[in-house]
Amino acid sequence: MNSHRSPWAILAVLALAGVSAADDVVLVPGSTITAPGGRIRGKVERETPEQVRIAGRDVPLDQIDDITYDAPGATFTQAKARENSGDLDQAAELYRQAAGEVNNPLLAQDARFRGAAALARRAQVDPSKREAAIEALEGITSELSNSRHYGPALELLSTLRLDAQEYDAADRALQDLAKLSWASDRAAVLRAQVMVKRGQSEQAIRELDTLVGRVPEGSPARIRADLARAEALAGLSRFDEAEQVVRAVIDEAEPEDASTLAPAYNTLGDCLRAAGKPRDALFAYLNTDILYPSLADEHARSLAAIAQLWRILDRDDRAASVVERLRQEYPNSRHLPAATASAP
Amino acid sequence: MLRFRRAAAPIAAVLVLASCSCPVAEARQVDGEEAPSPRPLRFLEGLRERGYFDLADEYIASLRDDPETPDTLKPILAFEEGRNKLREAEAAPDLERRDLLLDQGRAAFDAFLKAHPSHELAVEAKVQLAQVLYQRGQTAALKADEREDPADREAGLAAARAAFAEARRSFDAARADLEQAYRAFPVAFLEESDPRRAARDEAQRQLIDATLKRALIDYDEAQTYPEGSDDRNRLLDEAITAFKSIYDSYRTWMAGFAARMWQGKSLEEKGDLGAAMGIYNELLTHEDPRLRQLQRQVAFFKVITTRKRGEAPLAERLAREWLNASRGDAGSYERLGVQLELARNIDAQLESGYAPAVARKDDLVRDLTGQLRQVVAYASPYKADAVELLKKYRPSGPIDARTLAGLGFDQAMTRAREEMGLRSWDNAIALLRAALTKVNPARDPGRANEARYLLAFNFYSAGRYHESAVLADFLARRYPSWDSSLAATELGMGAMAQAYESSRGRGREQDLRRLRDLADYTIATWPDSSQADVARILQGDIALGQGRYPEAIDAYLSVTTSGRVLDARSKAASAHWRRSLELRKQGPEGAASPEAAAEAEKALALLQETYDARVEARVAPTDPDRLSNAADLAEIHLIEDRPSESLAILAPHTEAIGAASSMSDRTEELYVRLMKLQLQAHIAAGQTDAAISDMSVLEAVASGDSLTQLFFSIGRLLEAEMETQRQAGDRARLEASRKAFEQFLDALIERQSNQSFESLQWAGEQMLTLERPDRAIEIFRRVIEEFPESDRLLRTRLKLSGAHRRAGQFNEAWAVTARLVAENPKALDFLMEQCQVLEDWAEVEPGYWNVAIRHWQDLAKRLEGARPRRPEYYECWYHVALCQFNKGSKDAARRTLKSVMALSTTLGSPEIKQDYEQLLRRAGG
Repeated sequence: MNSHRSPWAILAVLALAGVSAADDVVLVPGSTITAPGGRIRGKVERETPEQVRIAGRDVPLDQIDDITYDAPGATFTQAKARENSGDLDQAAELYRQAAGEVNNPLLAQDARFRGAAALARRAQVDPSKREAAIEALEGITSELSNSRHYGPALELLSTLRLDAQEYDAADRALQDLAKLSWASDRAAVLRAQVMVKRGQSEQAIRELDTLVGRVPEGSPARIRADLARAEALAGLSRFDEAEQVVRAVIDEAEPEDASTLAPAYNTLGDCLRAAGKPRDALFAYLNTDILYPSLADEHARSLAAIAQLWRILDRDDRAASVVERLRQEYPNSRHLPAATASAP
Repeated sequence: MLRFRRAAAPIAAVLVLASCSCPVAEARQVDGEEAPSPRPLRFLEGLRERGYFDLADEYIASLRDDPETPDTLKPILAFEEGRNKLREAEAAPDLERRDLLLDQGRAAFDAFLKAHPSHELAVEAKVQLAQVLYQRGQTAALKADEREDPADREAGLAAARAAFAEARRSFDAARADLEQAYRAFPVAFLEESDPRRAARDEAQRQLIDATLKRALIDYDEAQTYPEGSDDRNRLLDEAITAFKSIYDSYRTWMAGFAARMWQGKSLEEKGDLGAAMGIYNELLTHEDPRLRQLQRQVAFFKVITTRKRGEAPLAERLAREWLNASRGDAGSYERLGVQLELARNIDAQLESGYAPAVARKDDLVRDLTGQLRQVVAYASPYKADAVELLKKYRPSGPIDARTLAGLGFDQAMTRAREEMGLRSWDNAIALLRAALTKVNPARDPGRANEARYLLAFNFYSAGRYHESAVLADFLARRYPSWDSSLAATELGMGAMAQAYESSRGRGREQDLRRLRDLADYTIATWPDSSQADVARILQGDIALGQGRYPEAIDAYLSVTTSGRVLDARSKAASAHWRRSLELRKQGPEGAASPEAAAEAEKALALLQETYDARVEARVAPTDPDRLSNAADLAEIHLIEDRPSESLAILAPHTEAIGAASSMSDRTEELYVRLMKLQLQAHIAAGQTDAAISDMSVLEAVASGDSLTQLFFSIGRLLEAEMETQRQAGDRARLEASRKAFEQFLDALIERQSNQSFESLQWAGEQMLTLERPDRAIEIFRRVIEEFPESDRLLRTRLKLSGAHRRAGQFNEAWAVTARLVAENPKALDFLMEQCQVLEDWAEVEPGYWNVAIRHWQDLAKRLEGARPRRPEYYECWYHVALCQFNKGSKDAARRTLKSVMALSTTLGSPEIKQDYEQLLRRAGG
């Protein structure tokens, strides 16, 4: 047996070790940034509310799916595991601990945000936790306003405020979000949705029309705007127009484009349900459940709607089994309360 | 006797496993890499997986109507519809619905194959059709399990066997196609990128799948025979061989594992418990998660085997482990089976005095009764055994009033359901009445009606039909929007029909009127429901029974629900036919009425239509409804002088039943009817040898009294046929029929073997009917010679006298009757025959008139003392007058007739009275 190892082999091992010890930025699918395997490894040098600098490259936040920091520590890893297993209370507590334990300030910020986000998810299922979650998120928006977590924290904050029917507060958060370049279109859509909830559908449609005219056709922002527009139209009982808008989105999308089709079919379901067509709505939601279940939140949204519709259609047995599925597959879903609530 | 039968849920499980018959290891590797099927098909499959079969049907209909549905997809829709029905049938707990779904599935696959015989899915459609037939057999077997009456049960099992035989034939045919398709691929190694590789793998998968299903038929059919019987063991042996062969060839495939499990089960049922246990343990050691569903079933089988080995404590533990590991599937057949096993093993330990069990007897008995109460609450193959065992442990006798008073509504309802499970109707009635006192019908009509409906059901089950009918009628009329009103109306109609059948006297008419009222109400209130069709059939039956044929026909033909339409149309045909016969009778003799012919034509058309529908539906040729349909059809062809058409319809059925190893009472009854028709048709067609062979078959089926009855009925049939021809004035046909019949009788007499008393006696009597007394004399003498010990020879000798008399051999006739009278001086038949000999003799030799008159007078006087007077008394005096008239003494004849007619207005019977009146007119009275 040859006991000598090639110097090239040793170098390769070292290089690999170096890479495996780096931070890791995972890009969103179809990102405009080119990187082998859709990820950039290296040292995260700086984070702002707009972008992340890694290995000498600036990456806008809307191009980032996830960031993993080197050597996160046992508590952080444990917190992630608890979060993945659905134990959000425990995960939030562990993230809080991890934020105090780690030396890397960016990792500490990440732990703090993740903890607050876990609390927010928990609050969407259990409103009694809402105040604590809002407090944690406001801590981030005030104390970490220069971090990359500022925007996502504002969005979560607006969602919780909306759940609490505090429309002004929700809108304020979204106005702040709109100041971030990567999130302005997104914020515009979310603000329109707040308007719809407030009963200002006409105004929402006007805002969305402006947005639609501005963003390119087929872009994620355009799709989000179209779907929000459909919901606003349904809010004004303009059901045919609403259905037409969503069906256009569905027809334009690639058959396997779950990220477009899952929310589109759910929105179609919402419109049809509002139009008093529960059976047609059921078929729409079932498209998401059967064909596009990969987007967890949209899938959970469809299951909740399906459960409600089965109840409307006097099939409590089927409703119960769908709720059971929702509980099993998404125990912390924000849609769970809606699934068990009486039909709207 | 526990007869394990695979039931709905396990069937579905195994079929799913079987259909994934790709290698387990390979399946893991390619998980998630499966080529995507078109979106609509994936969506459809998703709906099915969720059990949303109604939505799947709707979705198929929408795709069919949508002009944008791709052309490649449209042809597949009928196939997908068939799959939908088949999958729903697998999961349907209601056996009637399962039958209906199977029929709809069959129709869909047929439609697909008819429209696209060369489609790439055509072979798969044939396999699915075979699967429909297989499931039809399983459903028939499950239905048979639920029947209490042994004869009914056997009839159900026979129907199941017939369906299995059909399924076997279909699988064999489909397998040949699959084999051919698979062999068309190259044997050599194919690269993964080669598209032929995926196609070859799919062809192989389908072939293995069909082979496994074919073997399962043997196993299932074995379950229809009693444990330890030759038929059961033979089928189990065949199944074991087939399962082993599949496992040996495909050890790493899912289908291989499934075959291995059924091999173990078949061995266990044959009593080879060690081998079965070895297989079960081996299957349970596999760790692949894909085998978990199969392992659940294996674990159940292991519990059974452990009990059979007499290891009750271990079996009890295994059953408990199984139940703990499978919570949340209450009511599934598998769970019910394990619950029964648990109870059986507790019982076995207590029975054997096993000390640890005896020490905690109270707890165990509580557990046992708790488990069994759940088992009896569901219809399943385990219910009957559970009921028996539960009866052993629960207190018997009526529930006391104090207990009843202490129960709340829900408690009383729960207890009532348990009592219903045990068929303890009186207790259930008491509990339901108690429940009704605990609910306010005005405030909570739903719960009150639930109790009322169950009460009506229990009344019905207890044979208290009037009470059941009143309650059900009330529910149907007072609460027409209530969920179970339709069920109540059906129950009410059934109860009223039973009340009508079982009652006598004036109340009967009232029952019938109520039944008609409820049927009318049902049709008016729920015109599109299947219950409305039940009502329409009932209305038709009532009208048919009362001879209101057009009304009956209208009622039957208005039935539309697919489960009942064939039955209704057959009945409509019967009404048309009876109307035709009635019109024939009303018409002038010898002239064929066009209306009668039109009615007969309609009857024939309807029967042919229903028969064709049954054939198309692959209803087994031994199925009782199909047999009855065939018999009706053949009978009309025969009566209308088309014996060859009649034979063409009869042959496949008589052959199929002849080849069957056993038959139910109803099938046997229908077989005899078909064979009689076939005999008539063969005689009419001049096929004497075939007719003789029919006769032998008939003699083999019947015996003793039923054989005598059989010959009598055949004679009546042939006489009726010739009478119809005589009435129609068809001399040529009548003569041809007589000749054919005579020829047949000659051949029957001449045959050397299988000659029985009944057949010879019958032949002699038929010769008399055909006015061949010379041949009759020969035959009766032969009967007396060949069967000297028969206790029925007196009839033969009486008939011999009649034959001599009709041949003008009066001395011989007198000698025979004289001996009969000497031996039996009080036998009226012989005394009357003796008088008749003298009367006939006097026709030839007028010197005998006075002797004949005296004999008839003497006999009449002997009968004079009986009260009320027998018809024969009036008959004797009639013959006295007739002899007087024929002698030329018209006055004497008139006096005799008038004096007797003054004594009685009825004269014994309308026929005799008619004779008196006619003779009196001839005598100038």
